[in-house]
Amino acid sequence: MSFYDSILASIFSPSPTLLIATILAIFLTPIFIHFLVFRSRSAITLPTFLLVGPAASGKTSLMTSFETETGQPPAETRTSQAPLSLECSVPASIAGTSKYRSVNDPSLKAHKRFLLLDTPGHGKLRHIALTQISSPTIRGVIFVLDSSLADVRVVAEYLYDVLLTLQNSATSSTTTQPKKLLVACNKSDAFTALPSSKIQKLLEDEITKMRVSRSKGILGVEDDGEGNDEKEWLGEGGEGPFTFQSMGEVGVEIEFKGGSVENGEWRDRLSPWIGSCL
Amino acid sequence: MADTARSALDSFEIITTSGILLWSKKYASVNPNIVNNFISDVLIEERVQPGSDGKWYKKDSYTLKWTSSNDFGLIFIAVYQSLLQLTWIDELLDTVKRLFTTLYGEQLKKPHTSTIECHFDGYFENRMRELEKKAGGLRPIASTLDTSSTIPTIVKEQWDAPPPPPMPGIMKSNIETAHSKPTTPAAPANLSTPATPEIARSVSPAPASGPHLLSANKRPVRRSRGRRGHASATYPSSGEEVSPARNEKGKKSGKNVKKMRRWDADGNADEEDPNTVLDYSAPNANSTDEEAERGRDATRKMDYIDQKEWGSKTSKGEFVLKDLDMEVSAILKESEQKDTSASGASGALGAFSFFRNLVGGKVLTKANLEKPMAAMLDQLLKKNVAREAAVQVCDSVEKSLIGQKTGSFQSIEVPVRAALEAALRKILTPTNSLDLLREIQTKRSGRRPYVISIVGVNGVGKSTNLSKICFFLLQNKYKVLVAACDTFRSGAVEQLRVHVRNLKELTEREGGVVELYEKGYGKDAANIAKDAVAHGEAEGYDVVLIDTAGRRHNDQRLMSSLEKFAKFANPDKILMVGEALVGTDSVLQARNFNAAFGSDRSLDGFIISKCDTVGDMIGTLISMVFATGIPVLFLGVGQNYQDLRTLNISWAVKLLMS
Repeated sequence: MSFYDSILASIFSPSPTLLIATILAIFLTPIFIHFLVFRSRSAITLPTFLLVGPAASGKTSLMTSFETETGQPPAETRTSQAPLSLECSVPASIAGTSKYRSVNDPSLKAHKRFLLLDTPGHGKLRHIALTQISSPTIRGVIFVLDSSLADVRVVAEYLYDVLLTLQNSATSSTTTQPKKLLVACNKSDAFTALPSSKIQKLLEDEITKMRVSRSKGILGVEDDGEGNDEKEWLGEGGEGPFTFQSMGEVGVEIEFKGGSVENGEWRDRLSPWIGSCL
Repeated sequence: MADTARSALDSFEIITTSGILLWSKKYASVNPNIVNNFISDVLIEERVQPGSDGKWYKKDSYTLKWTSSNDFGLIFIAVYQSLLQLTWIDELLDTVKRLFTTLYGEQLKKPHTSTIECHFDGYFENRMRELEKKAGGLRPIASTLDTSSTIPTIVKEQWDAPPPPPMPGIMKSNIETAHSKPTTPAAPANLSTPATPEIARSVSPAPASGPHLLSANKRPVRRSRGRRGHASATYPSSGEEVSPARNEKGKKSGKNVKKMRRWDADGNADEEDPNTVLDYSAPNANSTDEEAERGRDATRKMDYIDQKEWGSKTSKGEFVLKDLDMEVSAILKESEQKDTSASGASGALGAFSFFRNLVGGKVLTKANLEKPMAAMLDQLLKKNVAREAAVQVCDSVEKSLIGQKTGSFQSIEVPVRAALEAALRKILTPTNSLDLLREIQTKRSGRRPYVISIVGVNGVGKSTNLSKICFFLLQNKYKVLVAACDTFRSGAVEQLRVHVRNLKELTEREGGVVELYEKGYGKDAANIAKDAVAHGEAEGYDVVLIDTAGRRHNDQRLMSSLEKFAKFANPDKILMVGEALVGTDSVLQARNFNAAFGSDRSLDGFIISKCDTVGDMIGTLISMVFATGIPVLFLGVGQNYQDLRTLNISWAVKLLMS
């Protein structure tokens, strides 16, 4: 009995060290576990593709069309106010690195997973997309626009901002990996839709004009007007007309593709491009 | 279409903040643009419609009411015709919100998905019925009304659908089928993916009971429609469409017959009595018509879904409704309890909540937001934001935060600060681009010059900022005409003359051309402005800048002349100059000037002058933009001609938050 008594006694009158140790254990264990859980979750980051573009161009529809099965009409959507990411996959066989693999490599049968990040296109919420662009997990940017191109200026302005941000992050980054942009001319089934080559031409013209007027515009309130000319000028230095081709020299590769969400064809059309970026 | 007459609601939508339509119920086709406009006007740009107090939104002939659930990022929107006065919409929104979040909360928390598995139709119908019933109040009247109105219906029916011999006995079963109809959609869980309009409609021959009551309540209002309403209620087809699309009806009518018993058990005893009397009129013919009608609406896709969905319904349908009733009320009760207990417990478990506060992950409520919000309000007021604007900004921030969860090891201040910063950024960010040069290029078609006019209160720096803009345009080789339309204050014209002389000298070498157009004092400013534009057009000027007399914004006599001025001069841009120094008055200044140009014209932008004199107290920016939703075009930052800047939003937000 005295054995039990002594144990009980030691429990009820603990030494200070034991007390401190116990208290520490009580407080630190949950914290420790928390960090463990926290870290393990954030460790998995999938390559991300950013969907940007003016409002009502079909970004969210395009994204959901990756989730719905082919042949089904896309889910209905409304104006977005917040970004949304969606996990998608493409067959591994079309990924860029797969060309080095053997035909019989079983890993080709697997699927490459990635995230599609949809951003709101409303003028007041574009900063969400623009701050995301330079994030290192972004493998490519998909600029979605309405092929009818009702207002070239609005589209060109946003595209200009996107290109400028891409250019700045390409020139400031240390890797030589070019930034990739795909301009997805959505709603090509509409009656008023323009072919993507025509859209490209119109946008180039508009950006040429915009580049000039922006360079002559009034300075921002904090700028001192020196040193950041290069950061403000889109494309290689020198006047002359702007071409999307020329963006290659500053590390931004641009591709145009037409398609329509209604026909559910974006999945097939985008997969090769996405694969090449992975 | 039968449905349109039957439900007071036109549509109900549950969408996520990221724009995905999770679930919807459409009783009538509503253009999605109405909801889109609502989102961008009210939720993004935070423009409150006059008189609405942020409670409703009117567009075309529709009224929208909404509620949002911040923790799940959901918005619940009810759309109905503005003519109707529906008192139960708020309650419907609230209960639907609670139901939906309890049922699908788990799924909504999952990252990286856009769709959820939801079978919400039944629950929704249940709530609708309940609320319409409650709003209806006087049940006996409803039922008597029904019986009386069935008679004309049946007569009508005879004309349209030949086969059924309308014996009083047969009428009963007929009506019972009609009533059992709603069970069909209500009982079986519907589609998992967001329902497309056709689907929603196809399943929705819905609240047959609703319309009864509804038409009963609304009797005086919808008298003319009443008959039709009753008719369709008791007898959904109401015969009008005889287009014989009788393909898959046999199957379905069978189903209907099966289900009608369920309806009895449901507890709608009142309705049953009249129905039982009238029940025998050839159920087959009846459902045929109903089918025909549906077939007419339906698209190919709907058929496809029909086959799939309805199959499972028959097998399960029987007990679902009863369960549903109980389930719904159980869920609601539970969530109510949770609410009350949460509010009660916050004080009681002092020590526990202390640790929770420490570790974080706590849900933000009005109570625990109070202190940080007060601090934020103080911060804004300190930065010279007008009280009215500051309070409203804080209110909207608070509303957007309630229900959200803080991150681990995070105090409440962090999300509050972030939300306020985002709100300020959102307010200051313009919806459209403000590239003045590009706009002059594109707008100038033909010979008419681009006309900019400048208005404002006395002594804020209208003439000075006009000459700054003029200098900027001259540097870009535009030919500018300055019109002196301040015909009131002595010395105003001379002052402009000095400016023009200076600008001429400054930019002569660079090829800028600037002239002054003056007509002395005492004349009507609107006429001078008109003549100036005509003169500019004749002489081939690119831009006409019109200076106006300063006026007190609450003097109706002075402000009223602005409407005529806007009509005569028809400026492409009307800019208002506001001082950064002004405090509380800024909201009213901006509002009154914005309203002064008539109903179809408003300000296009602000120039905030004297920004160099206030340091970091640039609250006027927020006050003015918030009051009107009009962007800040330029800031005046000094005494020289080149001291004009565009607004850098990050800079402004940083100063305001510092």
